[in-house]
Amino acid sequence: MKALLSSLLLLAATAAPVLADPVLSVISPGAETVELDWKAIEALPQTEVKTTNDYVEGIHSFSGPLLRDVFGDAKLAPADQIRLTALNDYAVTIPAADAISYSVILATKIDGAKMSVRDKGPIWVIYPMSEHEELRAPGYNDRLIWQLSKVELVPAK
Amino acid sequence: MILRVTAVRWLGVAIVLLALILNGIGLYRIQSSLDQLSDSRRGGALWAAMQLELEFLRLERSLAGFVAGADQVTADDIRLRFDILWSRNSIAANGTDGRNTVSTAGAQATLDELASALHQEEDRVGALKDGDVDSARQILTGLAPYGGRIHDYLLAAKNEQSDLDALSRDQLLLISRIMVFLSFAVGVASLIVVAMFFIDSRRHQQFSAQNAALLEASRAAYKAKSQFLSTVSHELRTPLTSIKGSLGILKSGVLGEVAPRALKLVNTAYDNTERLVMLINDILDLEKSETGVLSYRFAAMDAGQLVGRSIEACRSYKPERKIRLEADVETKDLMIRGDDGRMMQVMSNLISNAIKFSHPEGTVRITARRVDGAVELAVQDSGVGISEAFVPQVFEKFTQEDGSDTRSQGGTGLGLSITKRIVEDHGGKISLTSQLGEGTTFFVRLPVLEAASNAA
Repeated sequence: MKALLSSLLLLAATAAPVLADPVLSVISPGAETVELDWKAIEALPQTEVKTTNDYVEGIHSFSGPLLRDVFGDAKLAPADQIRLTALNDYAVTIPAADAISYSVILATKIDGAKMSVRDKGPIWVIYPMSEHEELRAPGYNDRLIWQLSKVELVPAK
Repeated sequence: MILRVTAVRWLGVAIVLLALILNGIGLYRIQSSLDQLSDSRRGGALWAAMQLELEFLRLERSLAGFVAGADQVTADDIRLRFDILWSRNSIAANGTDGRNTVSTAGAQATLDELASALHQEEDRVGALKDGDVDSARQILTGLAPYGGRIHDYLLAAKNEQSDLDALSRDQLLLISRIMVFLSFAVGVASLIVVAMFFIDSRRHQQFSAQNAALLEASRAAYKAKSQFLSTVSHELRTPLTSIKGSLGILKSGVLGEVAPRALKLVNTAYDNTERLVMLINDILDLEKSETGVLSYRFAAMDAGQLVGRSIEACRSYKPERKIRLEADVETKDLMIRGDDGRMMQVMSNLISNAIKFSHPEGTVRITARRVDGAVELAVQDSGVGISEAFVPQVFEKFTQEDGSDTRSQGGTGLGLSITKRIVEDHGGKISLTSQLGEGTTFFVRLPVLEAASNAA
């Protein structure tokens, strides 16, 4: 309960208005945490991925910036890892190689419409599963984290 | 023994096949079981329920903090937590592929009623302003009854998950049992194959050892026989020569007139001595031909003359049979290259055979002619013929078709073997055609000596 409360407080603290409506926190090694708002996210090059996954029916069009683009100047190496954290503090760690080899996007829109928190928004990590058969292996569905709020680059030791 | 080994072999093949088929079936079953397991790994009914309860408690706590006037909790925070709880409720309700993650009816009702409660509070949450404690308290009151029910939902999910886990465990157990069984089957099959190979190689070893021993024994026996033959023949020839010489002198009358009755006996003794000498010569020739030391003095010779001379030589052979000898010789181009003595031996042998096996008062016909660039000498008798089954053995040593002790004709059975050897040493071929009851014809074909080399 204590941990729950403290994480709640932490969330409340990060939600404090540093910038106007921060949507995504980006943490790169040796750099300050960057808070991206909608404007900053929409200013990044947008990529469309048409795919299905275990949580939707049929093929949908997802769009948003590439995961590898949100780290700005920080270079991704295949051995690095990326820690993805959701609004409810659910977290998953993926190999940076995924972001380098595939068009893994931070989807902000499904079929052209923004996604609300009530429906896996505001950001849903999407892998191009329909395009690459190897990504349909069961393990990859766990990496499709929704309600994404934080990405952290963890360099290889 | 062989039958048993064959049976064991087929049994081994059958077991190996059975093991492979079982393997195939087993692997297929394991594949489908594993697919089910990996499916059940995703769903995550318990996870969804835990997330639902966690978010419910978080919202409650945020609302409590808000009501208590904690500065850190804003109306936006309440809305965020409300939205997240909303999403968790719909995820629990829809699960993966639109299936409810917990299937009991009570659990389904809990989710439905929580959804309508959230709908009811939606406007109030949307309109909530910082410091509006009353509204927050109303929201808290509206949601409070669901705490216990959500916990029950979690317990139902836990049971469901336990059942799934038990099923998975059972499947894993089954799979491991199948794997053990398959490994055992494959192991047994491999052992059988190894045993089969082992037995096979042992048998081959035994066979080859036996064969080698047999070969060695037969070589030794053969050598002993050859030496024995050679020794006996030489030892026989010496006394025979002196007997023959003595009889010859007696017969010629140099030692005084022999009484006619005695002369007849002397003649018989002399003829038989000569026959014995011929037989012994045959045996020695054969011995030589086998060790490859028959000697030849080749020269140009006329096959037509050869026929004439050989007929003359055989005229005195078995006169009591009254066989008529006919010659049919083409006069020209019958030159061959040969050893005169050996070729005489060949023709005498064939003609005396023909006389021996012709019916009394029959005819033996000897022809010599050119055929396709070869000289063909043929000796045709009018005898009993040779059965088809025996033809391949005619030129073998020590064989006569009638091998019994009471056979009608004498001889060592060596003649044709030696004849064949001599003809072949001349670059020729010997063959025969025969019809039972009608007679046999032997053909000797020798290369023609061309005129040019003849002149040289």
